Amino acid sequence: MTSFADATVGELIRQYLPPLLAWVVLLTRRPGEDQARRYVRNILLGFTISLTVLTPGGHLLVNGIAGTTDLPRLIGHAGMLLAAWAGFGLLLHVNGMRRRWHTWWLVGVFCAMCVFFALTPNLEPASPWVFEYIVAYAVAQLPVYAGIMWLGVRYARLADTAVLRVALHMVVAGTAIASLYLVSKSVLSASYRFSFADEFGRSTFASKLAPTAANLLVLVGAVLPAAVTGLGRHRRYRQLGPLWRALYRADPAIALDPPAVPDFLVLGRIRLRLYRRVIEIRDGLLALRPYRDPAVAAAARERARRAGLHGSRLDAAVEAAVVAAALRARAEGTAPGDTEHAAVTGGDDLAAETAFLGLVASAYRALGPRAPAAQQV
Amino acid sequence: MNVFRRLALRRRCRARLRDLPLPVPFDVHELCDRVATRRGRPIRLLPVAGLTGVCGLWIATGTTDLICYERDTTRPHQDHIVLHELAHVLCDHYPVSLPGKYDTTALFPDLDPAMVRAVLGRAGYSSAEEREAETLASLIRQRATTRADGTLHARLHDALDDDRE
Repeated sequence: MTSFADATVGELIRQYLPPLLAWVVLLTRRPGEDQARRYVRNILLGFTISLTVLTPGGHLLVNGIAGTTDLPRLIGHAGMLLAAWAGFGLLLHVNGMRRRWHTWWLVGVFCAMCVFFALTPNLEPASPWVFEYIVAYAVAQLPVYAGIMWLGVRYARLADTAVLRVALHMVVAGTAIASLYLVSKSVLSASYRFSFADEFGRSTFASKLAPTAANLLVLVGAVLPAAVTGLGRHRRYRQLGPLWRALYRADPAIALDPPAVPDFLVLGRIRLRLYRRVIEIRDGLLALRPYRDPAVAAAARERARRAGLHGSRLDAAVEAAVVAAALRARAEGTAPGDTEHAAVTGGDDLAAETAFLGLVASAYRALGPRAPAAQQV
Repeated sequence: MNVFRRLALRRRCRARLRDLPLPVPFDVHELCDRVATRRGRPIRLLPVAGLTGVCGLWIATGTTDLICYERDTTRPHQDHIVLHELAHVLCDHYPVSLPGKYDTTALFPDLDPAMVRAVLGRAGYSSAEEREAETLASLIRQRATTRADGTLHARLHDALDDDRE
């Protein structure tokens, strides 16, 4: 194994980037109470354990604590079996399948691995029982990997978003490369036992690049949907900012937890924060009701029509103009004599409501100086 | 509210949420029915136009819980208002509330004021009860939207999505 001092920068990145990424994902992921989310957490836990103890630093640490020479590899392989078990379990679970064969298969073969591990003096390629240990490791995972690839391809065809489809394809590709790596590792081990040349198994691609690529593909595939969804929510949260701030300045009572930092610095719980922003905007709009002027709405509708707007964009432009005028009226304490009683525009479900308020916020921002100031609060 | 009290409040609300029989797919009326069955007291939901000073109201009588919500707002907002009032019910806030704060006779001329045990309205979060109810309502809606609706990709999205309570 390459020592830390001898390793090139590229080699250090190859060795430590996947475990670092795994730790970041594991530690930032919220614990889930349902089975599917527990499976995802176990995938990440298995990866993190495996990738960490199989680095040179992980080897040194575990061996230093346990006083062993090969225990990190057994722990690392156990971590990979845990990830494989959880990955297949997740794909079965989301489709309502209740099969448990892979659990017994992985536990049974891991027991055999432990026996081989106890019998071998060390895990050097030419040592006795190492070939059996490596083959058992491959045999444990290959049927489970085949199941993951089969279900992954099926689910990717049914995926309703491009992101989910890409993520599933990345997991399938990573699993396929991992399967090839396991086969290559078994053949390489057989080459020592049965004395034949295996140049491919000794190549950098087969021994180093393939497992790194497999790990990265599966890890990135597992976190991609959450990352893309999170970024989308954050963009929407920021989009709603100007409208929310204008309403908050008019009536601070609408906020449950006023933000202490600017929107772009808000991290975490973004789903809850976005939901709160939608509800608080609606609360603010209700509080403005006595100041809504039907004449402003009619004029804004006519202006929006002339500008070529229609559908929800037209409704959003009208709403933004009415809100801006109502905020001014409230600030001046001059409620119109005839308040607006038009039907409330918005979404029938939370996604549509959030999208509509996003359009209103954008239209409100576009009003520029005509809109009451919405400085950062 | 400082960060420790806020975390303690969320912890308390999450504990209540664990015992809640959330319908799948989520429907706030169905949830109210389930809570009513569990408590042995009917819950009636009443849309009211132009509630004054509040956008939701919980009126506890001797036999029934009435939840009034603003009629002239969007469906997601109405759902949230109902959830807020339901959260008051779930948190047993009524024993410490002050009856008579809201004049129910204007809304329900036929309702004998003597029958009203408690009234709580949703208008700002200055009191601990209102903050607790609002936090629980938000968490219920968060949990509800992330629960599987039966389709394969919904369950996959739900499993892989990381941002939930």
